[in-house]
Amino acid sequence: MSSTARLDRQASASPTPATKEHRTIRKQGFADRTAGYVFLLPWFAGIAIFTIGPLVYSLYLSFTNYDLLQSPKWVGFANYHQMFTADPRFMHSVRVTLIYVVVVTPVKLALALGVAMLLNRKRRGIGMYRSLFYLPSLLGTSVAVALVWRSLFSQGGAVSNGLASLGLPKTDFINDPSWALPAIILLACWQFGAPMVIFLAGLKQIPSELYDAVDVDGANKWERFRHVTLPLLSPVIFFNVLLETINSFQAFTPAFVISGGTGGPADSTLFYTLYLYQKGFTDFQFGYASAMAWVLLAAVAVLTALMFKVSRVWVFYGDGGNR
Amino acid sequence: MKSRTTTAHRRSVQVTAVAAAVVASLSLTACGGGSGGSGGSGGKVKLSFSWWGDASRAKATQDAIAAFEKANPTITVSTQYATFGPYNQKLATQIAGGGAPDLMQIDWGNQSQYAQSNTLLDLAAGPGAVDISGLDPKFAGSGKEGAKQVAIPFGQATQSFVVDVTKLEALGVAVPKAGWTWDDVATFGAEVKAKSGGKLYGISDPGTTWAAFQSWLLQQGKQLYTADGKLGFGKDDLTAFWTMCDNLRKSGAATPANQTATLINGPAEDPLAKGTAAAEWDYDSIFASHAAATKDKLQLVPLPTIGGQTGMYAKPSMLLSVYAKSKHPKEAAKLLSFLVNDKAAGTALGTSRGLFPNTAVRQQLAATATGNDKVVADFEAANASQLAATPAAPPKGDGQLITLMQRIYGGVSFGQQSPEAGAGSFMQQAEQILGS
Repeated sequence: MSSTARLDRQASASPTPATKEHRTIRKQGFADRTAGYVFLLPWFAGIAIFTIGPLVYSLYLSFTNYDLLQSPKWVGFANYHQMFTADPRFMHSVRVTLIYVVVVTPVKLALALGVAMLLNRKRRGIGMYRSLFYLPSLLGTSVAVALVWRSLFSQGGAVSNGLASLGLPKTDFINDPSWALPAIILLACWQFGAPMVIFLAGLKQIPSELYDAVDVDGANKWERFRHVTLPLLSPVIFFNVLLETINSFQAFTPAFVISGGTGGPADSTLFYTLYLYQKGFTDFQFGYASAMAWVLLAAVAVLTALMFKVSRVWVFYGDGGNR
Repeated sequence: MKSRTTTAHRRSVQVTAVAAAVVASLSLTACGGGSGGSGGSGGKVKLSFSWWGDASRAKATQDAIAAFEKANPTITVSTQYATFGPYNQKLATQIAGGGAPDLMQIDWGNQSQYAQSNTLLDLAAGPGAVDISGLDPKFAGSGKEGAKQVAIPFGQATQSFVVDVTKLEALGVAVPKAGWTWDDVATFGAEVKAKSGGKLYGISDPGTTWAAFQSWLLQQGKQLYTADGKLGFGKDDLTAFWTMCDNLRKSGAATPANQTATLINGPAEDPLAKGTAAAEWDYDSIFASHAAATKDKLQLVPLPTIGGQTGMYAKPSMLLSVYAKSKHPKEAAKLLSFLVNDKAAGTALGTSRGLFPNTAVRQQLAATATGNDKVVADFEAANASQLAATPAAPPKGDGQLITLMQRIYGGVSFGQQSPEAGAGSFMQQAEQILGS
């Protein structure tokens, strides 16, 4: 609006005052921008020193052997080469992480969507229910919840004793290689609050006329969901899938706390990030750990790009067409 | 339309704002360039000293430092401590950044690595010279790297079985005696298991414990490492050790895999503390922590033998080193000397790090010891003549082998692979670690 007005004035009125006016505005705009950038300086300084700097340095370190004590030694691609050819624990950690991602992402999102649909109703106290279901996610990444989980599922814990009182065999979930990962997966799925809130917002955006229209056509509940909710929610679903997948790849705290930093028992909870941490901070192989970090970044980037590609097929943007 | 004055006013506001923002970002970046730790002021020397340990050890150490500061009014000491894992991470980072404390407690397993990167001052001669004539020369030698004395042992520990006497008396099982064998361990474990109705296991499975394997090797005259820092044993040795542990576990004499896995949680949460094992392999310097974790009466028993050999030796539970870049090497060495030689230090420290390094003071302390200190002192005195020679400091990579042992035997005890297959993959990975 304002820019067209300005253009109009420039074109019609006598040139002198208009140019002068224009110049003042430009000058003013320049000063505003400078002030803006200067105000951003602390942030720029922060991101340069604390994010970009270490990022570039870690890329350099990934081509070296570095134990913190002696200066880094250049080894070329040796770290990357070792990872894929001579490190069975690396491949194992990839496997554990993939299992986690493949199970947690869909289960968590299905739970989130289900609960969001339940909470998308007009009912007394609905605000309270929404807060309650969101609560676990607020505690989610904290060490305290992981500790609670650990004591719940370890020997003599509430879960083990509860199952025993039902006549099931006593299991020490945390210290049993076949149960430790499922316990961590369960913890992750329980924290479905964040995607749930996003789903809820998405559900509220769906125009009720569409539901009225399919009702007139005699649709049942499943058909309402399948032909109205799902397509109109697909951008939100895509967003959540993307976010949760990336989050799952980066899962660290619960595995670290529950296994005491070992990835045990018998490496059953050796997440990629946990192994990376061990390489860096337990074995002091920072070159190798940096290389692992870059491989993870590359893998997640490729996967994200792939998901964007595939999304064109199934994500429906209501503003006309699939882009 | 704007008036001239508001424009001018606005401009001056902007100038002020820009200036404020510049100042703010400058002060932000300046945060990085803090000042170094140890500087002198007003003729006073300020030293920094850090160690790992729990609160009770911290209290004992603070008391010893207070005694030092009283005797040396021109020196003040600032201290820091943390638990073992985080401590080592922080220390490595400090060394990398060139800002390690003047005096630091180091683990024997890290000694070679630190020494090779010229982090540790020579304590035999020069400004950092420390008088160690009061220490057993063989024991003091554990702090040597080649010809250099890079560290002084700050407490002597030896290997033992910690036994729950209360539980054994309740079951009517005899407490094992010095000179018992590994066959006796199997019999003992079976008896405990049977008499407790399967609720109590004889021992915590030692198969994940690197140091237990070392003493088992020493019992047969073999070494964990060669002089040049390679593995001193073969695949067959490890297979035999793990097969023995495997049999103990399968017969019920030793704890099942899921309980053995809790050993890494430390004395407060392990099978002995939880009352599911009657005995556990550990260093005697940890005795006080075990005693604190249970109401039962505990006792120390020498290791089971092979051919009469216990394989026990005097191990430095930890060592003290002076930072090579310290600005006050003389004063740091003085504090070090006080902490390993002075009677006041010995009284304050007790057995919080094992036995006191200076032997004359150690004997005086033993004569008046009470409680847990007395149990440890008596145990050490009774076994002093039985001890094997102290091996050389472990090579770089020792810490990784400790966790490798836990991991692979963990897999064996959960039935994922045989002891022999486990030993094979251990040897392969261990050689890779030590070779790098």
